[in-house]
Amino acid sequence: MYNQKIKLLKSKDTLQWWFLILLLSLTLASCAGILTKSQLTEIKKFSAASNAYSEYPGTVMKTHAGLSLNNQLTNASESKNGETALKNIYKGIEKKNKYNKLADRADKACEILKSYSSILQKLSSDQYINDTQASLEKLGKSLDKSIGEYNKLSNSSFSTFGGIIAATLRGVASIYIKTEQHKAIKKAVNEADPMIEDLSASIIKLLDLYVGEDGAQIIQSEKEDLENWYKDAGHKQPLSTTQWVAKELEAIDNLILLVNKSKIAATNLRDAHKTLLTKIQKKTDLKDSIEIIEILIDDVEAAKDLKDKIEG
Amino acid sequence: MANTEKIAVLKLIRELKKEVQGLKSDDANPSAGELETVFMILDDLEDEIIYNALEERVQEIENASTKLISVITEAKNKSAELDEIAKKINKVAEVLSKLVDIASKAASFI
Repeated sequence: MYNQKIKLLKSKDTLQWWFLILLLSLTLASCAGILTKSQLTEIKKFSAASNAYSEYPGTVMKTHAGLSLNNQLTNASESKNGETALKNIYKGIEKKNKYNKLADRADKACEILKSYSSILQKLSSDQYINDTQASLEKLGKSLDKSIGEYNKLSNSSFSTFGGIIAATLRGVASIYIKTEQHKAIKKAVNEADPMIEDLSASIIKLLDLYVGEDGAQIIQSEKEDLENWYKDAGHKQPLSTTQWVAKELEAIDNLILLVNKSKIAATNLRDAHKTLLTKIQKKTDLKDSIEIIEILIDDVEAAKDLKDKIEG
Repeated sequence: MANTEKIAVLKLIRELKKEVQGLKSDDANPSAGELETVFMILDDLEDEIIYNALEERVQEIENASTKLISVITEAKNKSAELDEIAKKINKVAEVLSKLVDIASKAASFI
C-alpha cells in the first residue's frame, strides 16, 4: 500500500509533488504532532464500545423491574381474598414504575459516554478540512481561468498553477487543523481518564447489587422467590403456569449472564480508555513517524485529487 | 445503617419470607390471611432496602457522569473553534477567488 502510494506520487508531476511533500513535511516538523492511524483506530474502537455500552446498566435495571412485577403477580394469584390480590397487583405496578424511573436516571447518566465518544469521533474526523474543499477548488479554478485569459490577451503561454496553489493551501490547512485536533483530543482524553475510571467503577458497583460479591444478590433473590412460590403454590396451577415459570427462570438466567458481561464490559471500557490515553500520550517513535508520513501521503493524495479536479 | 448491617437484615428478611411463603400457601392453615399480610410487610421492607441501595449507586453514577460534562463541553468548544477555522479558510479562499475574477475582468478591458 505504502509503496503503491509512493509509486503513484513518483509517476506524475514528480517535481511539483515532492515540493508539496517537502512543504508539508516542514510544516509537520514545526507542529506538535498529528494523530497517527493507530491512534485514530483506538479512538474509533473506544467510541464504538462506549456507544454500545451506555445502554447496558439501564437494560439490566428495567429487566429486573419487570421480574419484580411478575413476582408480585404470583403473590396476587394465590391471595386468599380479592382485595389482597388487587393490592399485590398495584404494589407490583408501583414497584416496576419506581425501578424503571431509577433505570431512566442510570440511562441518562450513562448517555454521557455516548456524548463523550461522539465528540472524540468528531474531533478526530476529516470533516473540518473537507469543509474547505469546495472553496479551495473554486479558488484554483478562478486562478486557472484568469491565467488562461491573460495568456489569450498577451499571447503568452504561462502554464496554469491554480491547482497547485489550491492543493498546497489544502495541505497546509490540513496539517494545521490536524495538529489542533491532536492537541484537543490529547487534552480531553487526559482529563477524562480519571472520570471514566470513576464512572466504570460506579457502574460495576451498581451491577454488583444485582449479581456479585456485594451480598444483596437482587436477581438471585427474585429467582428464589419465584422458585419458592412455584414449589409451594404455582405447581398446583395449570400447565400454562409451569410453562410461564420455565420462561421466567430462563429469562432470569439470561439476566445474570447480562449482568456478568456488563461488568466485564465496564472493566474493558475503562481499560480501552487507558490504552487510548497511553497511545495518545506516547512520544512519536519511528513506527509512528511512518504512520504520520502515511497520513501525510493521504493528504497529498487528497490535495492531488483536488488539483486534478481543478485541472479537469 | 452500614452496608454489612443492611445485608444482614436483608438475609434475615429473605429467610423469614421463605418461611412465611411456605406457611401461607398451606390451604389448611387458618392464619393464611394474616401470614399474607406479614409476607407483604416483609416484602416491603426488602424492597425499601434494595431500592435505597440502588438509588445510592445510581447517584454515584450520576456524580461521575456530571464530572465528565466539563470535558465534553470544552471539547465541543474546541470543535466549534475548528469549524470556525475551516469557515475562515473558506472565506479567504472565496475573497481571493473574487479578487482574481475581478482582476481578470479588469485586465480584459485594458
